[in-house]
Parts: sequence; structure tokens; C-alpha cells
Amino acid sequence: MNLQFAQLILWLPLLGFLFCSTSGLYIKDRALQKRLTTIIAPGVVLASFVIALLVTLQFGSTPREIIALIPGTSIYDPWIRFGGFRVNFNEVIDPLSLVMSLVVTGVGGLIHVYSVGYMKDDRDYTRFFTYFNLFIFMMLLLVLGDNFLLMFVGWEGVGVCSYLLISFWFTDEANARAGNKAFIVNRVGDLGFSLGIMSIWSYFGTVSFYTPQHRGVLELANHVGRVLDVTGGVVPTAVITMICLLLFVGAVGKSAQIPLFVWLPDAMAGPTPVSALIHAATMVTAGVVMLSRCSFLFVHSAVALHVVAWVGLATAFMAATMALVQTDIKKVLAYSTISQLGYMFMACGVGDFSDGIFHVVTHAFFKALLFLGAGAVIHSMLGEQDMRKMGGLKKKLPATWAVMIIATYSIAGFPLLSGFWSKDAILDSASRSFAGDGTLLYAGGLITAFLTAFYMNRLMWKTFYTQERFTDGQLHTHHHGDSDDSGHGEDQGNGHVHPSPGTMMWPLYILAILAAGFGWFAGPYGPSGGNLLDKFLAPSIAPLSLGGLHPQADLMSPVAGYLLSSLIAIAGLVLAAVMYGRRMESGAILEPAAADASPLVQFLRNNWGFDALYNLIFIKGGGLLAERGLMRGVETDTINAAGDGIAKSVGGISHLLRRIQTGYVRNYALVMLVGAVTLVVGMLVGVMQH
Amino acid sequence: MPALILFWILAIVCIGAALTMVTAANPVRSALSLVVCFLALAVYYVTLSAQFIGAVQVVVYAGAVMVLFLFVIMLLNLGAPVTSSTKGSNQNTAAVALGAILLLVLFISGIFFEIPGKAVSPATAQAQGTVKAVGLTLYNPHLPWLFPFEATSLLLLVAVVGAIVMTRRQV
Amino acid sequence: MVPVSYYLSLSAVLFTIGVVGVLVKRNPIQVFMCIELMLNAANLTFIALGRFYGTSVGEMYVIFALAVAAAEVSVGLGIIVTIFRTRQSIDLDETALLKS
Repeated sequence: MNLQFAQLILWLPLLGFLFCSTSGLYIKDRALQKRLTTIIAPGVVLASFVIALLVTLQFGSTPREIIALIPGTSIYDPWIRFGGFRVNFNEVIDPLSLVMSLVVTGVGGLIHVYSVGYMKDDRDYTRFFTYFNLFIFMMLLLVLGDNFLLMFVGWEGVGVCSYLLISFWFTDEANARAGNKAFIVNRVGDLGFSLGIMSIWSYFGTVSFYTPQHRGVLELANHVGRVLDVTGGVVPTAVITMICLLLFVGAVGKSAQIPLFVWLPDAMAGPTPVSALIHAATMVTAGVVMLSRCSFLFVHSAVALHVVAWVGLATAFMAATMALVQTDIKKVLAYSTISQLGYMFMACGVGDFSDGIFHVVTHAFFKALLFLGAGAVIHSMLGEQDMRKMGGLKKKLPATWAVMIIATYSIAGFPLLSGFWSKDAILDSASRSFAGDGTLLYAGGLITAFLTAFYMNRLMWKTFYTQERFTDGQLHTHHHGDSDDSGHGEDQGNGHVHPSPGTMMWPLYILAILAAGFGWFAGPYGPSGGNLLDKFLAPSIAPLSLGGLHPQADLMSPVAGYLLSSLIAIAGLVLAAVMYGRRMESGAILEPAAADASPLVQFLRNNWGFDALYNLIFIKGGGLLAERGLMRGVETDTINAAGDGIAKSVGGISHLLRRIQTGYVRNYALVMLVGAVTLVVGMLVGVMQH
Repeated sequence: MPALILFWILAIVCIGAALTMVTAANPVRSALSLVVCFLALAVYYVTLSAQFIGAVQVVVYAGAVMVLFLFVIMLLNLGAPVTSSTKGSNQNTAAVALGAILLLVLFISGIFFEIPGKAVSPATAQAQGTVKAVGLTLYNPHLPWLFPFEATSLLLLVAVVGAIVMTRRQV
Repeated sequence: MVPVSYYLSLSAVLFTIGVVGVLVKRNPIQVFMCIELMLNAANLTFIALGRFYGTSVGEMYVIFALAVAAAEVSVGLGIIVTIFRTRQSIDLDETALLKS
């Protein structure tokens, strides 16, 4: 198969988007439009997946042709020419982009299928799939683009789709606010990213990753101990560090790391498939993808790597503690996502980019599964998201329970499931951190793993075990957004718990298989000698030795590591089971109300005070600065006053000058005489001086 | 000495007539005062032994030009005095002030500066102002006056035509 | 023999009177007369200095000034007549013609 077909991976979702967005114009039959959307929207994504799979197989069998530039995708050659600035519209087909394409189209396709069932009663069914297809296209552009600019276009594109989908039920103001928050917080990161791109352009003279002449940024950085620019000069390490940190700021925003994570929990306001696809499986991992893509740059800057690792660990730990006290089922998963992203960043920070991607992939599977399972629960509970009002659902929703338990054990790191392998790989790399702080990173990672296991099993217990805390048949219908009679996918039913339709369940089964088995497949004991993903990704990922950094010796033997993390995971699971089992006995199942919760719980519930802090600094402080400082001080008193002053003085002068123009000839004659007398006096003075 | 007395008498007449011309509200009075002034100047020209110019002054200025003025005044029936201006007193003050400065400057330059060159004898000067002398100078092809003089006739022709065209009732 | 500076001073006085008259009179005909007075003041200077130097050049200039003054008077009075016909007034201050 010709690699040219790889273009279709990118263009098919765009076609789907174009169809969905315009179908309303020429298909007047709404039922027909909906049927066509049902076929086309998931169809294009799955077709993309098939092509990506074929390309990957083809690619795997070719003898190490690392990069395939696709000249045919150039809309213009170059795409943008701006003085000396040239950018081509090229795709890069390399292991990293292929793996990510597979994840995006694969998980994305499954979630599309799931959404068909989930959104089937929504009034804006086609609009939903319009956004979804556009998102897939933008995400693919992000991972397939062969330069920073294309990546940035995709980066912003997924941000827009995220905004549109978070506030999908925009008639509810809270949803619209959540969309705004996500978009605005992301702008901070995007500013860093764009500054990073500009710095790359000014220091490297190119923004392409790879070029046929081997003059792409990544190829220029592919020298041991030094980075060159296009003219052959050496780029100083300080500049590399600056660029890496700027790029990292972008990654922090998109991947919801400290301090820019606050938007992700609010982003759960969107429909559950959105949370699954965008805010768990794909978009939020864009930061990790970007770091991995730029691994050739990062390995040259130990400082930047260090920052990445510690921000990752701090995020992982803090988000895990926040997840402990959430009562909204989706919020738990949101904090869990942040925490897992922290793991991925930690992996990147210790130079183990391929295991970061490994965790991206496994996380996409089990977190999408968790979200979709939670969506099924919410769907069955008629829109109820509060775990305090659930319980005992195992009997009513056995299939959902089964896939959820697999996902939970996988994310908790239960031995031999996917999450176990990827998380252990990260912990192993962290323990051998090149900077010698491996023990700390490892310990932090382990504690977080314990917390992860605990809060995930807490979620399972509160949702599926213990007795019911609702009355079947008297469930309240929870409206999302408008209270339109057509309703949404989450408000159907007559107050009864009801199982989800098949289109919603089949994707869950497939994801469950992947969440259970993919880790083994790609892990160290997998087929073909193990570490399949590592080996596949190797050409796209820079080794640490490129920057002159070397991992430390093992902290313990691999088997001991596996045993320890298994033990930790099982301990967390058991503790949660015991705690919530006993609470069930004592009747203290419900969390204490917010008012009489302990200070620690309140602290955790309030996101460690981040939201309050940002509120104080940016919203209140910004408002104050804008009102007092800028509006009154600068605008009213300075700019306006200056403008008014100029206008007034001009007006005054004109007023005076206007009186000169009397229109009376005699006055003009007088002025003429003034001139004449002046001349004569001047002449006299001149003569007298001689 | 008689010449000096004559100068002063004429100066008083001339300046007095000029002032009357300026201050008179009635244009007819102004015109007649101006005629007096012009006649006094004609006498000056004669005393300065510029007989031809003196005659021309009487004929052209005191005669033709002033008759034209009076003619227009009568024609347009402007004999009634124009009410003196109420506004524009600033203008008048400024005009007088500027006039004073101008006069001062002209006095300074006219009196306190030695006029370069040397005065010729009255006998020589006498010969310069006769009709014959003026004619010989004016029509001498070796002097630069002939062509401008001929051009002046064209100017006068144009002025006559222009005046007629402008004042015709139907254009 | 009257010194030439006397004539120059007299000429200055007449010229200044003319200047002030131009500026203070509202009747254009009187303004015109003042202009004539200024021209005559200048003519007096020419004649006086021509006499002083014993040359006819001063007289030449006076002849030209006379001719130009005659032309100017005929055209100027024509303009005044036309203005009077169109506006029924020749007061310089009655309408500020140069003010839109």
C-alpha cells in the first residue's frame, strides 16, 4: 500500500465534518439527516482508523524508512511564504504520529459509535457530530503535522472543539462558563506555545520537524551534545532551555497540569462522550505528544526535563488527593485524568518519552472506558451524576459493572492489566532518573498509585456496591442545558434504571479488552521479544544520551518493582473496599455535608485552594487592576484626558484662530500691513547694523 | 529761504487735505480734499523742476482720475455718508498704531541716514524735468524705457476694455 | 534749496496717512482714494530723489506709476460699480465676503 494513502487519515474526518455541518442546507428531512449522520460521522473516523492501521502495518514491514514526507499534501508549495518564513503543508508519517493516529481514530471511532446511542435523542444530534468530526480532524492535524505551525493549528483547533463541546448544552449558563474557562485558561498555555514556536523560528530558521534535506528542527537537534541551526551555527543550551520551557507551558495548559489544571474538572460539563474523547483520551494528551515530538530538543536541556518531571509528579499527587473527596462521578474521573497526565509528564521528564506515550495509549483505553461506563451509569440513572445517590447498581447494570471493574483495576495498576505495565514502566524510569532524584520521584509515584487505587475503588463501591440510595421508578430527570421537550440522551426513561442500548455497550467491550490486554501486548513480556511499542517508537524518540544524560542504576530489580507496585495497588483497592464496606455497615455511607466536613476534606474539595487563588488574583485582582488602575488611572485620567486635552486645546486655539478669519477685507489688509511693517523694521534694523 | 517757506505752506496744505480726505465721512468731500492734495503735489513737482510731471499730475490725477471718482460717486448715488463703523475699533486702533510705527521707521530712514551720492547743481537739475528732456529720455532707444512705455499703452487698453466689459449691463 | 529729506519726510507722512486710511475706511471709494494718495507719496519720493541726483529716471518711474494708477482706477471703479449693481451696497463690512 502506498504511503500516499496516509493522507486520507487526515482528510476523511474533514469530509465527515463538511457533510455534517452543511447537511442541514440540502437535506430537509431531519430524520434522513440523522440517519445519514449516524452512518457517515462514525464511518469516516473508523475508515480513517482502518487506513491508519494499514499504513502502520505497511510501515512496520518496510525496512526502517523513518520519515515519509508526503509532498502531495502541499496545498501550496510552500503553504505559507512570508519573507524568509516558509512553511509547507506536510504530514509526517512516523511511528509517533502513527501510534497517535491509531489512538485518536480508534478510540475516537469507538466513542463515535457510543455517542450514536448516547446522543440519539438529543435535538442537536448532527451538531454534536459536526464538532466531533472536526475535533478528530484537528487532533489528527496536531499529531500528523510536519511542522510546529501545523501542530499549532491543530492545537488551537482542538481547543476550539473542546470549547464548543464543553458548552454544547450552552443554554445552561454553567456549561457556557465552563467552556469559557477551559478556553481562557488554555490561552495562557497557548501563549507559551506560540512564543516557543517563534523562538524556534528565530533561532533555528525553520519550524519543520523533518525536511527532505535533513534540515528540520528535530534533525538539527539530532547531534550528540549540540543543536545546530539551519546555517550550521550552534544554538546555545540556554536558548534550548527557554524554548523547551515555553513549549512546556503550552503543554501544561493543554494537558491540565499545575498550575493550569483548573479548567479540566469544569470541562466535565459537556456530554460524557466529550469527556471521554477529548478530556481523557486524546486532546489532553496533546501535551505529552508534543513533548515526545520535541524530545530531541528536551534531551538537550536537563533543566527543562527536570521541571517537566517535578511538575508532573506534583500534578499527579495533588490531583489524586483532590479525587479522593469528589462526589460527582465525572469529577472523580476528571481529577484522575489530571493525575494520570501527571504520570505521563513525569515519564517525559525523566527522558522516558516512549513510556509516556505508552501510558497515553493505555490511559486512552481505560479512561475512555471509565468515562463511557460512567456515561452508561449516568444514562441509566437519567442524568444523575452524584455518587451519593447511587449504589447497588451492580445488580441492575452487570455489563457496565464488568467493564468498569476492568478499567478500575487497570488504572489502579492491578497486576498484568494495561495500567500496571505502563505505570510500572514509568515508575521504573523515574527511579532511575538521570538527575539522581529517582528515589523521591519513585516514592511520589508510588504514593500517587496508592491514592489512585483507593479513589477508584471508592468510586466503584459508592456506585455499584452497597445498597441503593435511590428509589427505582422515582428517579428525577436531570436536565442538561435547555429544558426542551425533545430532551437529551440523559433524560429519557420513566424514572426507572434502564440498561444502555447495544451501540453504547459494544465499544465498551472492545475498550475493556484493550484496557486489559494492551499493556501485556506492548509491555516487556509481550510478543516478539517484548517492548513492542518502545521499539516501534524508537525512531521518533530521542534517547537521553543525545543530550549527554544517563539514567542512574536500578533502584531494585524489575521483579521487586513489579511486586512492590502490585502490593501498593492491591493495598489501595482493599483499603477502599474495607473503608466503604464498613461505612455501609455503620450507615455512614454518605459523605459528610460540605459544611461539617473536616478542614482537610474541605481543602481537598476546594482544589487545594487553586480556584480561590485564581479567583482572587486573576478575577478579583484583574478586575481591580482593570477598574482602578487601567480604566480610571490609565484610560480616564491619562488617555482620555490626553485626548480630551488635545481636542480642547486644539478647539481653543481654533476658537482664537477662527476670530482671525473675519471675512472683512480690511482685517486682512491690516495683517498684510503688519507683515509689511515688520519687513520694513527688519530692513531698517539690518541697515542700522552695518 | 522762500523755497523753504513755500515747502512748509504746501506741506501744511497737502497734509491737511490728506487728513481731511481720510477723516471725511462724505466721499465727495474726500474726493475734493484729495484734489487739493494732488494740486499741492503738482506744485511740489514744479518746484522740483519736474514741470512735465507737474502738468501730468494736474491733468491725469486732479483731472481725469478724480473726475472718474466723482463720477462714480454721483452715478451710484453714494453721496450720503456711510455711517461710521461701530465695530472694528480694534482695527482702527491697530491701524493707527501700525501707521505710527511705519511713520517712525520711514522718518528714521529718511532723515537720519546720509543719502549716498552727491546733489547736483540746480542748473543741471533744471534741465532734467522739461518736456524735451523727459521725451528724449523716454524715447531713447538706448535707454530701457521705450519698450515698457509701449507696453503701458497696452495695459491701459486692457484696462479700458476691462472696465467697459465689467460695467456693461448685459454680459 | 529744500533738503531732500524734507520731501522724504513729507512723502512718509502722506504715505502713512494713506495706509491708515486704507485700513480705517469702510467705503471702498475712499479706500481707493487712499491708495491713490499712497501712490502719490511714492511719486513725490521719486521726483525728489531724481532731482537730487540730477537724473530723469525718477520721472520715468512716475510716468509708469501714473499709467498704472490710471488703469487701476478705471478697473477698480468698474469693479465697484459691478459690486454695487449686484449687492446694492458697497460697504466693505456689510457682508464678510471672504467668510463662507
